[in-house]
Amino acid sequence: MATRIGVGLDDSRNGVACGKAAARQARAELGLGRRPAIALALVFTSHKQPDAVLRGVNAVLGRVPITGVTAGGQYTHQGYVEHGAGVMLIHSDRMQFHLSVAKGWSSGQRLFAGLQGITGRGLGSPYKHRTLIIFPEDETMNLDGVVDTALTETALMYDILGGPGLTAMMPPRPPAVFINREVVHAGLTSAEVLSERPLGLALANGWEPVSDAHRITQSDDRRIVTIDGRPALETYQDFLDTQGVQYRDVRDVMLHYPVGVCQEGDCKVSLVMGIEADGALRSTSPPTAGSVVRFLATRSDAMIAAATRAIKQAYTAIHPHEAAGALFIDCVSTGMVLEDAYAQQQAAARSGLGDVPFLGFRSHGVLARLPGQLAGHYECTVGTCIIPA
Amino acid sequence: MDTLAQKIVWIISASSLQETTARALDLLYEMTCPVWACLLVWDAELGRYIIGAVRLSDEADEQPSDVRRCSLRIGLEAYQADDTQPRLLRDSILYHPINAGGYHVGAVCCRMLNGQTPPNSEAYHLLLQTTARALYTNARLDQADREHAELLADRERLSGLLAAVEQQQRTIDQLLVLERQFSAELEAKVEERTAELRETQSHLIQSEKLAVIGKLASSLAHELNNPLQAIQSGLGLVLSELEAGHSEHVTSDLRIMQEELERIQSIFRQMLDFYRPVSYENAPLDLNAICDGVRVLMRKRLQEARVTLRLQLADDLPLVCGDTNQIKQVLINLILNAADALHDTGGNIALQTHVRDGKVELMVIDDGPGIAEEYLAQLFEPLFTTKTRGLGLGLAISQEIAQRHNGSIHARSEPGKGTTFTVHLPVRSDCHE
Repeated sequence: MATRIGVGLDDSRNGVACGKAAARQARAELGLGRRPAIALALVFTSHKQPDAVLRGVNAVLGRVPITGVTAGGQYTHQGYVEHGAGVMLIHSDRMQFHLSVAKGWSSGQRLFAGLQGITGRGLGSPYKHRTLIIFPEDETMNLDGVVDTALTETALMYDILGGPGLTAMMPPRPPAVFINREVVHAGLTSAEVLSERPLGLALANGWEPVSDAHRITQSDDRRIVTIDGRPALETYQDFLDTQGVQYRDVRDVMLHYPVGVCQEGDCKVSLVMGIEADGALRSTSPPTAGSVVRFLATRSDAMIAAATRAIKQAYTAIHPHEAAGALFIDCVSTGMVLEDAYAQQQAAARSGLGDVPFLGFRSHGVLARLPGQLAGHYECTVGTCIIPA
Repeated sequence: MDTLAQKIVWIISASSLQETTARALDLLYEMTCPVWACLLVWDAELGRYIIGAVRLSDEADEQPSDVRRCSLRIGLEAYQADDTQPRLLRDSILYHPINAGGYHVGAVCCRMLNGQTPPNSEAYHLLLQTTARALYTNARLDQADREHAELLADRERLSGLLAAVEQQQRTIDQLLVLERQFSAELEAKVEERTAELRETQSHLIQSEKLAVIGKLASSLAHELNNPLQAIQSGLGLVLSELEAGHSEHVTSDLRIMQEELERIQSIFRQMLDFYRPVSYENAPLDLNAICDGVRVLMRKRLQEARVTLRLQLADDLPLVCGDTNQIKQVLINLILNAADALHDTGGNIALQTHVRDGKVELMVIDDGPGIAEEYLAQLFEPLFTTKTRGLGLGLAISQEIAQRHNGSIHARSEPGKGTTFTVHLPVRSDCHE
């Protein structure tokens, strides 16, 4: 049987109906009439009633383990839903799945308890490949810290990919993560995937550095306070002036010029999300004090090409195996930057994945620790996880 | 001087680079009283200045951001490596680079009041040196703090990795124990299975032979029919002669019947040899001696067939291991085959022995009509024969005997030029190895 994947997508107004419809589609695409023996369901929803969506999914899938997160939109080959739900059902006899949940965040707390691939008795799994897929919410969790903790708790032995759950703005709704029948509003869930074959994980963005190097001289959990010893906004505005960027208010353009820590052509993007009265720049994952950063810029075609590149890299990682399905993690800000061209990126994902069933969801950036790349929270970046057959 | 000493202590007791630059600039500002002053810090990695601190007087008409921008621009323009001298630039702006420990650490940049001269007091220079030293120390401490933090993080990760490696080691140890147990069990199973396979193989061989015997039945019926008919008619003839009182031909008729019975006996012997699992002894054999013995045994038969048998035996032929009677049987089979081939015309058979590639080679060569190429591949198949008489078992039996002796048998023939059968047997010094 190997690995088979089914995906479903729905945007019914009633949350339960939406969850049921998406889960039924996923199960039907999988081609199984009854509950699969070894399976995992990933649920992403931008619905106004996430709890109801989860109930609907559970009603259809019974005891299948479920994890997932609130999102800013979902898409498959069938289309895109702004307020709905997407379900991916993975059925495999080449993989094992173990879910865990951590509620809240406190010093010394284990976030990934109960890992099966690395235990006190030794490596507790005969599977060669270990992957940790993480879904934290973005309101209370320090997203760079989540990846740092994952690195330590997995002793650098896992590839890590994740998509943070999104705080909805219009209307305001807190983010949530899902674990089986439970909705958690402060914390994270994770799926440990132990597999015979490697998962094809890749990360790419179309951002390029367009400024000189600058020093972060003061920052905290949510702000870049000073750059080069000056209020961060002052340095930022000087950069915009140097670039000849026309604006009435910095807020109008800041999404297009993020801050990046770059290494060998790969930039970890930190978006500027707002401005404080003291001239600090708000950021979900600000670079730490002492970091050398550059300001970044992009073009639509570069961002769309990045999506294609991530898919190709992920395919290379599973070579010579065939793909059973793919998860596409897409930062919600990418759509804001691309505006009308965002549909082209979705089209690029569909085209790059061909007939392979896939589910894309819009998250708050991508969490990653992949070989050859910086670990942490990447914003305005796409992450691809191709699951081999 | 006490006041200056206190000021110096105040600077060097600052706990961070930010605090150091703020305190130092406050004191320098008080001492020089410019319109504004900015302490620039040299960032060696960036290769340019960043802002340390800024101080403006009430007379300043610029904003702090303007002062920072202006100072960075001045610093960018005025910086020269190994420069230590203060310079008064355009718009009464003083640029004073500061160094410590052989390194450039920063610069004081300030706009002087109109007509104001650059400060040159001993206290100012002492303060500047203190600032330089404090900046140097703080920059190094900041760098050390960052590296220390990175090292702590690395240590934490390495601890995790070490734990994982230890876990891996424990797993490997467990696997090794399991592997040893598994190997022992596997070895026992392999032995058990090998014995079973041997038995099965023996059964299969027997089954195969039975199948051959099945095929043999029809051949046997045909082969026995002729001598039996001859015996039956001969008995009838003898009876009628005895009843008629004519006994002169009885002896010759009985002799014919005896020959036919011998023929039947020979057919049954061949069949039984093929069917019966043969146990044989494994003793040292001298093939030359066997060849000599067979020549004596076959002499009369060959003479009747007008066939000449010549022995061309190798000197110092090594011994082989096996059963004398079986090897004799092979040799007789091959000689009889050759004699049958020469039956119509008579001819020559050569019996040769050689040593080649660690094996003893026994060749039976005739100069008969040879064997057609299409028959060569089937020669050793049971029941295959090109003769009008015989079961076609002779060569099959010979091949089985040769293989049982870890040897082989091959035929080479050219129509019109004769046939050569070659038997290879391994040279063995110890027949009980």
